[in-house]
Amino acid sequence: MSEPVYLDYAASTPVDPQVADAMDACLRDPDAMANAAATHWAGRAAAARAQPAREQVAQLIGARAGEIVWTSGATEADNLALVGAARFQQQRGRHIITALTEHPAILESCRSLQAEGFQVSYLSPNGAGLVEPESVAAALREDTVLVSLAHVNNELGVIHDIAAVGAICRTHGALLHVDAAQSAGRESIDVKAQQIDLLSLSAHKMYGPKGIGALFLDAERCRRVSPLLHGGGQERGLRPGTLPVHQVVGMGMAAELARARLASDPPAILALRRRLEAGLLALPDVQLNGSPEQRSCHIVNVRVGGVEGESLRLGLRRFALSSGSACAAESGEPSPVLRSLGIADHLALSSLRISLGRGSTAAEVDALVAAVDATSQRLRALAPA
Amino acid sequence: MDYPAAVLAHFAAPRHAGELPQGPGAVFSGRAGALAEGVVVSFQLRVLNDSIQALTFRAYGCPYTLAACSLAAEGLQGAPVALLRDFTIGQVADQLQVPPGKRGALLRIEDALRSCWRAWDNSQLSRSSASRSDP
Repeated sequence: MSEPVYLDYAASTPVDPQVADAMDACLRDPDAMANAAATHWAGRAAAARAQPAREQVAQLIGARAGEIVWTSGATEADNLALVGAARFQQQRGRHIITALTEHPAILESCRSLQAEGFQVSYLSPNGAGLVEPESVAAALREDTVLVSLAHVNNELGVIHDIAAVGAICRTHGALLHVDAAQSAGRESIDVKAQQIDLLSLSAHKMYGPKGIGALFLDAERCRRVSPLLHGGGQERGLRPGTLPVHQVVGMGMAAELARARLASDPPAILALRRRLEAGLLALPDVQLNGSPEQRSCHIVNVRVGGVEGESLRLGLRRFALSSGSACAAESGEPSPVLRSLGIADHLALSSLRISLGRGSTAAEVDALVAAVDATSQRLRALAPA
Repeated sequence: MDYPAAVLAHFAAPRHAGELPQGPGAVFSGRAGALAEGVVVSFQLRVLNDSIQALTFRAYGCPYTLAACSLAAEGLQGAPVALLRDFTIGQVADQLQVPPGKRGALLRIEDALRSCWRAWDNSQLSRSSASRSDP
């Protein structure tokens, strides 16, 4: 196998060296070793070490430091947002709105709420993979307490008009939760301007460490949710557990770097994405899944006709890419997201999600295009007419 | 997914894939599967004196399916055509270490080969009935 190429930045990103350095320094610092919840001098030192990170993450999304709650990742943040907010708000109503195209962390949280008696409306996307603000408005009911929609869809890369959905939810009174795991550091986020009440973040999707994420809760609109974990009173009682100071420091540094590079990273990655799209879409029977325009800089999702998906991926095995959400990759089933767009199962199975990042190069993109061309030609020549 | 070395070898260089080479004898074909199932298999064979002179395949399917077609095609060169009637893919699947979840698709190989046999058998029937009706 020729040199391996990583093109799955939507699944995870490498830790930035500056992040690793900050975490390493924290782990080796005797002043940061204590339990940050302890009231003695050592505990206060550890808490002081963690505090700037809350500020760094808040600044990335236009929030205040006091509005950030640390979690183990975006999956936990999504669970806490949906289940926690729904349970806390249930006296007001028991109806939730989300989309069929959401990440399993959202869909499975909704299913668990349905088992508790909540009602969930799963909105279908349009042909471009987007849930239109008008369909959110049409689905709102008197008893709707929560709407959850990803900023950037993790499989297609399409960008939802969150500000428009935010305005609709604010007028109605329902809370708006946004999964921003894919958009943080790639799209500008301003929770106040976009009228977002809850927002999930993951460190490892923005060159930070795995095992740490955050949930933003708007101080005025959604100060409290029902905690999912029970224990000490850490994180305002919303998420108990000893603060992993080195993880928090790592996520803070990743957020600061993402903010600093917001003007330079996305345009460079977008140029590569355009090169990749131009190459792939010039090949026979390769088509884009999802909106060609309203899309994040880093994700390309294409279906390759006339070839079986598993054989296609074996032919491309030197490239780390996926056919859907990495969190659902083991099922071997066609992607529910692609199915919801009306794409036939065999084409959903021969679809590729390619995602680019800071380390991606034009040579890697060109090599992938050449490999898709060679593999698909070879497999089509083998297939019956 | 990790594949056994034999599957990777057949996938990289399938044996007896594509067009049937020219030669003496009658040509028969058979096909099974559907795109919606994720597997389509077709075989062509040339028969002379009731034995397979040449057999080739075409397939749309997973790497195990492609490798199994290749290995089956290799093993059937020169075999009596009657063998296709009761051909089972089990031995090929064992040789390639095909996992249980992937064996279902391989049944289409049996179906396509049986369909080849049926085409040949029908030709034998029509030949014998034609000879019976001769004065």
